[in-house]
Amino acid sequence: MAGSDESKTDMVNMLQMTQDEIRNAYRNSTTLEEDDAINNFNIHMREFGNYLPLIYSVHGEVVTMTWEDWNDKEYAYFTDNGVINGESNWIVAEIIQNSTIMVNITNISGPLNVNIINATKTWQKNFSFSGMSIISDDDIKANINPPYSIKFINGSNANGKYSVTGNTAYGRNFIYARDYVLNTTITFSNSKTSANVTVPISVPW
Amino acid sequence: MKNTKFMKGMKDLLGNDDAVAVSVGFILMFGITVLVFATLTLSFYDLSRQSEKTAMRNTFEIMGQRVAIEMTVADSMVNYINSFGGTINSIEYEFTLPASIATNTYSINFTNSTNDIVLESDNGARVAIPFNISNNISEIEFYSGAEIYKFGYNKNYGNINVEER
Repeated sequence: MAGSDESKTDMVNMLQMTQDEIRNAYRNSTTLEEDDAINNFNIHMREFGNYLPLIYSVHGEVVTMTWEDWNDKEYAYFTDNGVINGESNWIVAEIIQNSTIMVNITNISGPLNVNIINATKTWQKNFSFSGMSIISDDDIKANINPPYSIKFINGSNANGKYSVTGNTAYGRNFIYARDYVLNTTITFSNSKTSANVTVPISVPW
Repeated sequence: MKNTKFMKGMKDLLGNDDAVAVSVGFILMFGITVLVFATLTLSFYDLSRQSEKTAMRNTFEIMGQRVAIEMTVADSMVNYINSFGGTINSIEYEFTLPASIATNTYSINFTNSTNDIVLESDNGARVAIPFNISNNISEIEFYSGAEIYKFGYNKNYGNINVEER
């Protein structure tokens, strides 16, 4: 019989592994044309879905995974987890030295704000219309001194894509980006535990 | 002369047990024996009852703490899935408890107000084990017998609940 800790850690690992795999599959696929990208993504995920039960059967656990692709799917909301009822005001990145922010709004129902905040000052960039905007490193540094944090405000008012690339005050490069939120359902069962959960996974990061 | 006669009479009286009949002596001896035996039996019975209660309390402590740990595991699974922004369609986490302890049945009460698991038997043994979880738990009381129970999650109320399997 599987121990209690084993159930918990195995389920947590499965969620984490699935999230990593979906993001990898998406990033690898989006270098291709749209139709090929979706096909390639589904092939990648099907193979992963076939291997997953083999891995967990060693621990006496039965698992399944179903996923969705982004065919006919809307872009994610600018909330913390990408869904409309997620946290609207949230910190995207902290202790940043240099960065470029891209915001591409598809639908907007109210103002969306990007706040750049350091220890003493806040600089706000407001968005009220759909379309793509880039906040360059020079724009940011003309208004605020690093290190700073980037915060999205009223994220549930709009959906679309964003990316933030740059490096931290400690010199580490980073990329935060989101196009879609893909819902993935996993089932997990062993002699002690059974679960059926659906988790939204934001891609590409 | 008169005094000497009196002294002799007293000596004869002290040495003479004819005043107590054999049957009365037997009854007295039997009564005393029964009384001593009954007192001893009652003392041992009370002692054994006390030992039984102490043993049950110790067992309740171990069982309660185990259930509290299992509840924490279920709670952290729910929290982890929620931290993903996920929806828990269903989750079940099983635990077992014996149907009786030392031939006594007992009740298990999950309280939300004091965050305790209270185990109590008919003979008066009672233990309250505190638990610490971040989700609410639906208050419920069971009587031992089911042996297998499960923690679940009510996604509409955001509560952890306990059911018999």
